[in-house]
Amino acid sequence: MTTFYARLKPFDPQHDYVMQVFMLGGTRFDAGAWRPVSEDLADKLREVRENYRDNRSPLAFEVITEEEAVKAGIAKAAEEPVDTNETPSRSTRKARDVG
Amino acid sequence: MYATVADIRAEGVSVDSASDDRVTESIQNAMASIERATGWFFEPRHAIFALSGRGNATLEVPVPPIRLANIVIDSNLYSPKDFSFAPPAASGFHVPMVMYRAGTFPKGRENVWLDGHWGYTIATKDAPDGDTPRDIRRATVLLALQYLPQLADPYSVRAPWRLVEERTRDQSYRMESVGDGPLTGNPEVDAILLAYRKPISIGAA
Repeated sequence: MTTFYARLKPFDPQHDYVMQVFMLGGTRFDAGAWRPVSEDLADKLREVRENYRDNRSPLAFEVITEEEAVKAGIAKAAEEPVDTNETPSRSTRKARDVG
Repeated sequence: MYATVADIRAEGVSVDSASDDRVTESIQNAMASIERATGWFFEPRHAIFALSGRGNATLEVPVPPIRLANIVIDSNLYSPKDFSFAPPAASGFHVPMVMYRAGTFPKGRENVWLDGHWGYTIATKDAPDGDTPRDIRRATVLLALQYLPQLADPYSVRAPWRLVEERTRDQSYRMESVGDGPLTGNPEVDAILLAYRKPISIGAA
């Protein structure tokens, strides 16, 4: 199965990018964050517009191939979300750090 | 954002120790952690959810609705007036749902598109779309501080060791870890977030 990467374009009301969250096929997209998607879902996302009732409104998603994602360093970042909850473990702290 | 740079400054973080950009980034990281831990967001956001109708008059939605703008069912546009929902502050709120008062959501795959503003917010006089709950604001500040270790401070809040004993003459003191919380690692924050966690979806027809 071919993998694609898609993201809801970052929130930018000045350029009519007003959607912040989109959910389709059980997959939730938050503006600006890349996610790996199947070919079927990629095809659907390519047609989604910021205002789905207006065919002139901008396309809501950027969809790229896995190859493009790897080149741009997106593939790795999308699969490994940054864990901001890292706490140095007791064992890795030097004795002088803990008094 | 759930908290402002001023909220962090009020906790004693000076401009010298962390620039506005750095504080903003730590708030954004805190928000991301809170959203991961709870399963939904706490400010009004414009979102479209494409959901599958189950033949019932109610449809479980991923996030509490604030204001519906357009509802499309099987490619037909419906007026938001025909739909209702309960805000999270309402008594008896358990799972966010949208109710179709004039019929049922027909069975189908991703045949119901709900376009509107969503978020777990508390309505106030000044903010018709609601504000971030106070508890969540507090949790954001605590987490942002945790992600913002003071420069050159080996005992930063990022590694939350607690002083439990001190002797001044011999200059000895003893510290222990404050323990880990199940969601973010910070017990004080987790105590708040557990009350705001998204309930497990049953998914019954």
